[in-house]
Amino acid sequence: MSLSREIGAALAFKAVALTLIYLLFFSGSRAPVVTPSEMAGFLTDSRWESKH
Amino acid sequence: MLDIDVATLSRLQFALTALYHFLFVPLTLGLSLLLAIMESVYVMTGRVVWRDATKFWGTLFGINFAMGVATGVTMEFQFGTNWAHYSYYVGDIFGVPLAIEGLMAFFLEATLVGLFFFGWKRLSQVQHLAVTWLVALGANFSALWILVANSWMLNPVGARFNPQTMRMELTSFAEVLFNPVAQSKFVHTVSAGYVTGAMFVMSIGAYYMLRGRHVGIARRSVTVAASFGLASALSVVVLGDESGYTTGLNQKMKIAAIEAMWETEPAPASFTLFGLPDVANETTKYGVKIPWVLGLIATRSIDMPVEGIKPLVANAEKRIRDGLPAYVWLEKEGGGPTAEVPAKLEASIADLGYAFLLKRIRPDIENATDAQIHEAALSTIPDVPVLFWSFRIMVALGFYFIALFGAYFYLVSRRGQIQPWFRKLAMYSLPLPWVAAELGWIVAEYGRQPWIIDGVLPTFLGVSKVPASNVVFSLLGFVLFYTVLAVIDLVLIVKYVRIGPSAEHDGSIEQPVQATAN
Repeated sequence: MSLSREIGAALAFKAVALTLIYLLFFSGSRAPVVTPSEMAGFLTDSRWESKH
Repeated sequence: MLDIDVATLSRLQFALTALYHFLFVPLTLGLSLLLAIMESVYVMTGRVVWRDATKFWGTLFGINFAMGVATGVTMEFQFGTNWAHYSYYVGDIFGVPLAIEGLMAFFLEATLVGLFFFGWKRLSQVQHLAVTWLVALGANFSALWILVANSWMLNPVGARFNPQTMRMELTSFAEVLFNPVAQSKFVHTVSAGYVTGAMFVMSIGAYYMLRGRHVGIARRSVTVAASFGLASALSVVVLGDESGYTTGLNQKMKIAAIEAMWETEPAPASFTLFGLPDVANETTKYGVKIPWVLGLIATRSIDMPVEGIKPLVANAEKRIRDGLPAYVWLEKEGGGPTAEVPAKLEASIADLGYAFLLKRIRPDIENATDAQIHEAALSTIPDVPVLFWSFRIMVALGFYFIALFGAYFYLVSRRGQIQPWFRKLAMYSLPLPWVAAELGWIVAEYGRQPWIIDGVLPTFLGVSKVPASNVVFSLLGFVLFYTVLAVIDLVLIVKYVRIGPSAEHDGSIEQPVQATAN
């Protein structure tokens, strides 16, 4: 296989893998929406619970 | 079952992707410039062997570029999903250089890479040379904008906190761009990339010379790499020193941790060459010190002390207390459409980030006890042993590179015999610039902890409220993806190094040279 084909195959793998990873874990619906009030609540709300 | 929180998992995932991406970056930076230098020699002299050398190293550059491209985009994925609060809080500033990098530098580089490979017969010599230089320029501009963004996390200038929007907002783009941390970090990082490119060419050239293969190209490539590598390695050390100075000005705790320096070092401050940091007893055993050196690095003087960890913790404790009034006000007013910081709280708001450190200890931080405030102040100490050793190994490697490139340059310039053992040394040194570069990132970024934005936002407050399982599964996905990609990259690089320049491109037509000639 020539170098250009090998690189083409590798790039195709990368494109598919990145698309899959994005769709599975990082798509728009998974990204939390942060608003000023949500940020204020996150930083200062006394009910905010640390994981520790 | 390991009980790891979302913040730790998100940090682990980001570190993995950043460190992996940075395997490709330094070689792209260094090799692109070496290609431009070799092709310039070809255009100036008209000697075909230099064109052939450019084409051969260009093939390896192409493999590295193709495998590395878009491996950094996964970090952008994470900003939105794992680091939503960070992205919201500082996205107004952090996003600007990232966007410029994508639109200006990366597109310039990526577009012209195609012309580099397919333009040899379609462009004139000078046009093609211009393309090659622009590829190198694009790669370096990419590094500039990324490091401007990154350095803002280390020294957040040109921004102010807006309590209505509850985020940092840009006040001066010039301050962000000309951030002294960014300037020193940029030149230090790209120089490290040049060292990596030079070592890559020198090591593979030495491999060919040892086997008496492709000697024409190998000899010339090694000569260029040794001289370029020597200049770059010297630059890394000198510019790293400048980076140390800006760190001494802006991140005193990082310098103290790198030095494992618990007490303030009186002027003229000594540099600890070696020692065994003992965190439990807050001391460094068997310390070997060099007088004056730390003072010169961190303060550019011999009459100023360098603050140690303990006084810096005391200062952090004061800043936590000072930030609490702003926090109490923010708790009532923050996020409201008319919220304006009262004049009497202007100073307190500057220490708001320190008050946030208490959130890891208790939610109602305004009721924190003295012991809890002290505990929060102690959390400003980064991992001392990791920083201490990472820094020293990186610096030792930097001096080793100067010695290796210097010796090789001396030998090739005298056209004397080079012993096989020395060529083997050069060949086996191939991975070391990557080790040094990754350690440099660990010192810079792990040394930033516990902050995601130094003094402004603790890392644990930058994460999203997402289930830990989400981050675990995406982390596993990245490990799998990057492992496969790394194997493909290594297989391709090794395969095409073994093949070497093609018969018509091995440089032997023009000027046969003995295998031991240099």
